[in-house]
Amino acid sequence: MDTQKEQWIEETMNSLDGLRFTRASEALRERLLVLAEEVKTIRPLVTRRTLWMTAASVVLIIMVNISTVISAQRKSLQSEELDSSYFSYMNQQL
Amino acid sequence: MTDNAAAEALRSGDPRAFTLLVDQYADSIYRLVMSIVQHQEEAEDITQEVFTTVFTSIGKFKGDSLLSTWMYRIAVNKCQEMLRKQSRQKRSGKHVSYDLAGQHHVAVQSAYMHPQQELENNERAQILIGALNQLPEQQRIAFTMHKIDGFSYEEIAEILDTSLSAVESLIFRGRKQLKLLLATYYDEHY
Repeated sequence: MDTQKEQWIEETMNSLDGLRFTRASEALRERLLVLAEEVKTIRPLVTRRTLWMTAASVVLIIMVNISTVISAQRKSLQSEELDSSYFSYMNQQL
Repeated sequence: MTDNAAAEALRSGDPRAFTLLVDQYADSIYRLVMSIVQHQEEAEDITQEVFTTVFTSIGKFKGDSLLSTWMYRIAVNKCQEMLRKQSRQKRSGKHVSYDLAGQHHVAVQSAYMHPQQELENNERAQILIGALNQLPEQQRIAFTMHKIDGFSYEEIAEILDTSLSAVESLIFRGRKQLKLLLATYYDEHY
């Protein structure tokens, strides 16, 4: 590759170096600020995270209740069995 | 306001956070989008879409990267969607063409519309941009982000959600391909 061509390629490759960056126009900025206002008004009061946490808490409470009922039922069954075995023993004695 | 504080404020619906976010990032997001899509109206529409997504999806931001990185990632994704849509629809625009030696005519977008663009070597920049548009999408985006927007390789890797070596390779291959395209252009025109 000849030097002149190489130099031209190199200069062209660097031709964007002096590029002045554009800024968002005032009109676009206005549109974005209006958008921000709109989003603020439609934004839900409760966040999704809070919603999931609430749902998880409700499920947890229900599960604790179910397990309490089951364990209470088991205890009452055990106590009934104990009572009946005791009374059957007493009846035998009499 | 720091990135994390801004994200928290947005999540909690702090009204000032939205305005601050626009003030802080409108220019940089627009610049990035503009350098990729190279069309003012489309760049403005995409910038608006980016902010809509940010405002409505802030709950999905996990905080494992900077808020700005997350926003740039959204912007790049939207640009890629637009470029793919354009390539599918083969939408016609204002074009001029130049010859590539031994190849077919290549259409080059002539209307590179940086409104405040002031370049001494405007003609060469147009040629470079024309060649840039011939690169594969990922190479073009990585090269543009580095060369025009001034992002570091590390930042590009984070934004494109890829490795540093992948970015280095993309830019290296992009540069090599650009030099080939420019050499061909030189042979044709000088």
